[in-house]
Amino acid sequence: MPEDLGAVWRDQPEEQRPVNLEQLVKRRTRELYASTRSEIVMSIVAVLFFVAMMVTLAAGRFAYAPGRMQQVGLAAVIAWVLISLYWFRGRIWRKGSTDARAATGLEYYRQELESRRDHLRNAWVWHGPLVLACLIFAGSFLGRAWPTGQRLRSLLPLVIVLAMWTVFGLLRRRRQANELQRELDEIGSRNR
Amino acid sequence: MARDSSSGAGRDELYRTVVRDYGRVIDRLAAGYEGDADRRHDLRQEIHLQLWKSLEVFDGRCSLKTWTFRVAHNTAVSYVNRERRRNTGLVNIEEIEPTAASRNAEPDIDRQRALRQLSQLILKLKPLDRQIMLSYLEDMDNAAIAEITGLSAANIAVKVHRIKNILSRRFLEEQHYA
Repeated sequence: MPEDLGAVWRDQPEEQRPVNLEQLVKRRTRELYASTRSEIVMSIVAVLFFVAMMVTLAAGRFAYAPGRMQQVGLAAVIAWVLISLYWFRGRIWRKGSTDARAATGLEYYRQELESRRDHLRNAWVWHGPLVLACLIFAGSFLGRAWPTGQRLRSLLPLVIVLAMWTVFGLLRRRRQANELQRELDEIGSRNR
Repeated sequence: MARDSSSGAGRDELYRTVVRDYGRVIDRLAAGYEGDADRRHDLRQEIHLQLWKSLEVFDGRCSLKTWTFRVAHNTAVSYVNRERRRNTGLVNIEEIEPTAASRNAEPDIDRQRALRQLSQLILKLKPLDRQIMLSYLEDMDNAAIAEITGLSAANIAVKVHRIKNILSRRFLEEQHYA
């Protein structure tokens, strides 16, 4: 048994794999891009699911006929989704601009951090259609199930849950955006 | 990483100094926080990234060594907290004795075995005590450990005394049984 445990600790074998900062930055960049894209795509898929459900029910044996309000709402949702797809096309399908390709790993990482921060700050833009679709979907069927006078009251709990979910989501994303801003500051705005 | 401004170049230069002077210490520190080789590699990378970023605001109010240890420890502590599910049952230095005693030791205690047992002991500790233990094993004095951890020198002295007792009792016992 060696007497000096400190020496034993300090003489331990060297790590075989060297640390590669560039590699780490590249991996983080890929992860940021992937999570941004998956959030947008998942949100849009969820909206399309609700729309498809309503269309299927309207065409199927349930003989559900959407009222004018629902039709307008659905049209708004679809328009919103199309605008989102156009607006976020660069985050869904990577464009790979010449500038980005020519940037150093760190600069590219900084761009991706900024993109992710903006994405989180604008959560209501890409998350909004889902909230609206949920409201229309639930409103349509609750409206059918209850007499007219009770519709608003029966919708209220759902609206409250949706509002809480939305506010919580927005606050969480705002916090994440602030964390990214801190990381951007750490990377060094003086070097931009 | 190529930087084009003077502050960036200064940071890169500092980072290279840190890697040259304390690269091995950082590796050992990571070993004190993560036993699995692949995860440890991730932790080492994370520590290096945080260090590199932090050097932007390094103002020389403490030594580069102290700064490096602070950032490395803090990054590792965040890692331990993130991996909370895998890091259950961590104990304080004061609680380690009853859980760590091993009386059925094999008689082939050598440096490698001692290192393995020491690592196991360290990995059981709660983060703050782990910081103190690792700093002590890196041959730092109480004042330096206090500067890194933010605890008072008196508090560190008590903890270090406790660590010495635990290490000598645990390893001398095994030597006795060997």
